[in-house]
Amino acid sequence: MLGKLIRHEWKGTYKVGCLLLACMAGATFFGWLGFQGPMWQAAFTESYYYGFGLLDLMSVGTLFLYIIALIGVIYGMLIYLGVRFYRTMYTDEGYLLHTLPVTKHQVLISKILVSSIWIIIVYVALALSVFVLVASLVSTVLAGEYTFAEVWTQAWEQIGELWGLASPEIRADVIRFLLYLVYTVIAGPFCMIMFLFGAITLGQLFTRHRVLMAIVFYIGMGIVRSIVEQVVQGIVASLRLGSIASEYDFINTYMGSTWNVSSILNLVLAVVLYLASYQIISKRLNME
Amino acid sequence: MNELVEIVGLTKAYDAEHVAVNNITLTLPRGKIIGLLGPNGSGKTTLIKMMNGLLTPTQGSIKINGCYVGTETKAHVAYLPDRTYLAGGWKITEILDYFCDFYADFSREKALEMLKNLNIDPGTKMKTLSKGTKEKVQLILVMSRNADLYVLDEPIAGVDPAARDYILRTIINSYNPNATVLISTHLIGDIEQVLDEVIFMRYGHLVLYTSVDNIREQHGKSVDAYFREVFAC
Repeated sequence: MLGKLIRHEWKGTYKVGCLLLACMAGATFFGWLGFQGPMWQAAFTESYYYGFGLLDLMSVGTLFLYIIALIGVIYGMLIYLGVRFYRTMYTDEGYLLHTLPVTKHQVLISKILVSSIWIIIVYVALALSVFVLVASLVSTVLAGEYTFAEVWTQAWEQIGELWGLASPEIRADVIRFLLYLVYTVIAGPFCMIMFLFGAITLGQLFTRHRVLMAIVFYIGMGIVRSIVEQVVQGIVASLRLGSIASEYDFINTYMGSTWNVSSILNLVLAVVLYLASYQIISKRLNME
Repeated sequence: MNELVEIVGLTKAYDAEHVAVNNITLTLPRGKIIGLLGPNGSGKTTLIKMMNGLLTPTQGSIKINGCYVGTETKAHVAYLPDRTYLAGGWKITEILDYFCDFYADFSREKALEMLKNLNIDPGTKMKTLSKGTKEKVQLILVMSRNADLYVLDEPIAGVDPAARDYILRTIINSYNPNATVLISTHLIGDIEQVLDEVIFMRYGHLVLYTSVDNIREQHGKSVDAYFREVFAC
């Protein structure tokens, strides 16, 4: 049944998801177009600036719109997933979902999984979009001197060298870094979605103004989470910073502590919200 | 075991002043068409929602087929809510796929036949249908299941009189003899001829649970007339 729920959830979200991705692709195209303006070529090749024309104004405007569009797509996806979760779980459409012969865990997991996948897709698309734009800028600036492939190869070599020099100093661990990366890509979207869905579900505990209460929970939990994060980070960092030997150690320890505390707290909060959501829809569901 | 539904001490209170269902104890047998009748706000829909797991009781319990309301009972209960619960963007064929996926007792052929009889194109999107047609589609979905219990909340309220006859015929002809149909409605006169038993509710309390024949014999009145007498304002 879980597979069927996931399939139908995916089917229900893919149209809007693809539309938002298409918007991102369109924004990326216009962003690329923005870097084709004469201003960008002149800025890196001439010793003085030649002036600011209409094309440059359009170029800057296009890039500004690109940034707005990217932010719009990210938040648009989050809002869409939240609204869809609310609509299919707690409005009239929820009458269908909650009378299916499936467990509440299956219902929650299918929604969280599909929504998290969409967040991952949007992040990947965002990274690709920024990459395309950077590549576009590099190609424009270095037109005629280097190809993009050459710049790309050089950049990787430089990053490798820099890493080789810096890693012993800052005691960087590649495996730990990769683990962090995997955690960020997988657990990050899960935490983000669970935070959203948890707030919506907690709002259902009230008999009136459920949407308003969901928003209050979302904002309130965000504030509390930040405060707790800061306090715990401060405590953990001060405990660990007592034994540092160098400046690099200080940065490494402080950043590591901050990241660890933030990740662990977010994960714990997501798990707690999952369990709370499960309890609410199992034991305290009250469809209007 | 002839009992299909066992309700014991069921109460639903929204707060201290609003008790929608008040300490109801009731047992429904198999193979009957039962009318759940009462004025507005008597607790009919609340009772039905609790039977389908959409509301959590404040007190008491409901067992269907010997199981407390949950995943197991939902596989055997076909529920028609008093509202449109299907997303407007869905085509009817997509909804049929959905029901086929989740309900083992759903018959696609039966649904298509009923859609054909009511001249409803399966390729149509829900949002393009009129309110009455949406209700017909929802009823078709419910009656295309081979369930043990059919719970219909106001199944004929939004449809024209001609369609009502078809729907009532569908209800009578579609359910298996071991199943029970619980129908909540205000239009008592329209459904009276198909009912075996009736439940009267008022202010969340169970007022009466008896057979239609009993009302006719003891009171010499139709259910509709007796209802008007009991609930006279």
